[in-house]
Amino acid sequence: MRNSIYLLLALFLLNGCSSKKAETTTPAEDYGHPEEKAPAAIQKNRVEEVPLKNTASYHTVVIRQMKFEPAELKLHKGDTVLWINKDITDHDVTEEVAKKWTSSKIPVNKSWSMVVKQSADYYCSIHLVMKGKLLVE
Amino acid sequence: MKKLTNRALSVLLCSFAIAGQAIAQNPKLSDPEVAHAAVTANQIDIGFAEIAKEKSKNADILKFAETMTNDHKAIIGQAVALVTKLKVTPLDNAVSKQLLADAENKKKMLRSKSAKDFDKAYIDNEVSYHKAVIAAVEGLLIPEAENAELKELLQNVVPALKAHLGHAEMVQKMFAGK
Ligand SMILES: [Cu+2]
Repeated sequence: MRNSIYLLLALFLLNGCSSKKAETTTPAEDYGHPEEKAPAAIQKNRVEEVPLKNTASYHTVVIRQMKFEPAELKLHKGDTVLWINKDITDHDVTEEVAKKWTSSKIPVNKSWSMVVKQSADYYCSIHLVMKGKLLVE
Repeated sequence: MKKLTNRALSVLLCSFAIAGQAIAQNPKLSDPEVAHAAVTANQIDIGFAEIAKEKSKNADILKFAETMTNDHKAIIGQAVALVTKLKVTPLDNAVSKQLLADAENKKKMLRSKSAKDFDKAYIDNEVSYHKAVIAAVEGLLIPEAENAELKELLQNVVPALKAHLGHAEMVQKMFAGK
């Protein structure tokens, strides 16, 4: 049975998303290097304290347990928001109404940042029930 | 169609009751058995998604199936990594056998559908299957798991299963009345 599990695993190759990246963004980057300490799959299962480097103009949204935390973020025009995927599956961050911008797929333990120009409702296009808000004040 | 959905759900829930009886006669589900059942439940939904990828041409269905494939594969990856770390070999058991037997019937049903009827049948089955798996994980596998890390892994999987259910119900609404 175990063998068949590995066989199944091997059979399902990752398929990438093909949506366009917004211009004012950085590519998904490594957040920490779990592979140096323990198998990533085990490490990412732990409830970790994420060091939030938040300042007046820099905000972090943690993606965990199928939620954006905080789901509503008040900020100022020109602030940077970093989304970190600390969940067990891939996610993305996509403007919901007109699909104006998207992170494309953010793998587990990776992050993505964007300079915010206006308020937006956003969601995860992989998991339609995941929603968040950026409120520019 | 609504009747059929309810029947499908009751068959699934009933099969968990049967599996529950098997456990009641043999009260302890060991951690290797819990791990096996968890992996089996995830593999089954990957199997349903495979059929959808073969038979559906609907973008919402295909996108949902792709999410199921990737997410359940990620969950299996977590389970395999954990049992490897714990040096536990997953062990086949009555719950896994019942899950697989039910899945075979569901797959036969899905394969028999015409292209026209497939999408609704697939998403109805996804709604009922995720409901049944959430009930089994919360009501059976988490309480039976002894190892703290195994229990934690199962608890971490529940939000993903619930998000899948919500997503499936959204897609189901698009096919309501079709
Ligand atoms: Cu997501």
